[in-house]
Amino acid sequence: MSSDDPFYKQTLNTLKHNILFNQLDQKTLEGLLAKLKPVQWKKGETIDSEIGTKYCHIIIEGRLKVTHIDPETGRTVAPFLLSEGDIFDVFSLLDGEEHIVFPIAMDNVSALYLPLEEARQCIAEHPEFNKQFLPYLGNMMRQIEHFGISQIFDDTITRLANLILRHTHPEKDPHDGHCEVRLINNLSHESLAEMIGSVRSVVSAQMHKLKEEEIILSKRGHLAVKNLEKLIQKIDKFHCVENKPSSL
Amino acid sequence: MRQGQTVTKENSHYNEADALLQNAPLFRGLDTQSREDILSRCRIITWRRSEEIDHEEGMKYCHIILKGRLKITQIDPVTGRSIAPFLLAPGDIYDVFTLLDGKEHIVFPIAMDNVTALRAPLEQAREWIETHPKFNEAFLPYLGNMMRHLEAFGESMVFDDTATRLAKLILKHALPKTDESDTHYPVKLINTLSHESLAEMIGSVRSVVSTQIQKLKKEEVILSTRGQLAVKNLERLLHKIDRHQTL
Repeated sequence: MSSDDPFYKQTLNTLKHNILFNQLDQKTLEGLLAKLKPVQWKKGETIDSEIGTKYCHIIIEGRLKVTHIDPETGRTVAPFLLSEGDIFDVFSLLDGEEHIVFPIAMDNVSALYLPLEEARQCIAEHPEFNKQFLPYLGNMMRQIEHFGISQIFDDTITRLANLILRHTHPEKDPHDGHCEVRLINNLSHESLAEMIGSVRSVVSAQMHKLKEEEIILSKRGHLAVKNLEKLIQKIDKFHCVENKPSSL
Repeated sequence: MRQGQTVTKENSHYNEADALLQNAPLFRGLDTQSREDILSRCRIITWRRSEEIDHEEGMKYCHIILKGRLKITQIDPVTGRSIAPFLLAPGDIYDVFTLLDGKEHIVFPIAMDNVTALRAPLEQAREWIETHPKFNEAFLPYLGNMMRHLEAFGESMVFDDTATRLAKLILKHALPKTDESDTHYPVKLINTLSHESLAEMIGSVRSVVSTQIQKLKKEEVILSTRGQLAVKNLERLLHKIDRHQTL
């Protein structure tokens, strides 16, 4: 991106506040930005997974659902919902191999991209980047490990409660007393089902139950938590381990 | 657990540890000086077969496995059911999760053999990533491989039945025939595991895996005797997976 670009300052500012890049100095950031090109995907657009094998994308705005499809049954799962600051595709960035996924833009998505090789070179040249990148990878690994383990240990209601809880802001809104649900709050039941390895009909039934029990509020595609303690109980009933949002 | 001295050049285990390190993909690219530097900051420790390792060890130290296998078990605190997404082998690191983000990783590692490992404080291991670019170069693909393994594990839980998951596990560990005249394909790492451990690795239970193993034996797909596992008919094993997975 050229420094003459009308969005240059705004993008530089976004990078400065990005958890992966906020430790880099101004000169390094400017050098990185000079290599990056902007790209936009429209809401609902399915992105060719091959671009993840050639380029590294940094999401600036919007959400990208990374879907896996069973080629025989057509069933889908989406262990990752990427958002601002996330990298697509981390798997290919790490090992250079193909990663067969079907990314779908859940909003109008803005991203910056550069060839994978250049991204790897940046990592090698700036060891300070690792200080942020390695914990980021750790978080991704924990997320994907949790996805697999919960398929075996947890039933659908626990997985759903856990998903909602992980995205819930622990502080109540002073106006309505509800806790805001981030990132997943306007997703369809189908997408929520994909994120927990279930199917739409089961998730719809469970959402209805959570609404009836006045644990969540879900209307017109908007999700909020009405009773955080009861939501935690839904998980704790089955699991004594910590599953609460980090700030609780 | 037995903990030895630091692995300096004077240490009697130095040459052996250095040779094992050279075989580990993560350390292969390092020059003699870098390996010497890493070894001098490590202690050799051993765990006896079946020994359960306190997961807090993984909070304080980074372990590089030199010999033996370490099964990383996760236990459901309510039901007691266990699964083991990882069976670590020589060259692997325990615990990668904590090494990456410094956070606790509640797991129950069990030594499947007498295990020898190098141990260094976590902070020290993080410094290697910064100061040895060759190590970092190998570390990132290693992480990619771990992530793909975990992703496949989770995906398989949703998409595949137990028979497919078991066939995939065996196939992943099958080796080429050592000789054309061989009647079977050897299976690495998992070949001596109990049905219970195999079940843990695919998120199933012993009884189901035992039935499936019997079936694979009867169909002459595998050979399984006295805790030794090998593949007799690779094509049929592939077919077991393809039937469910390909278009």
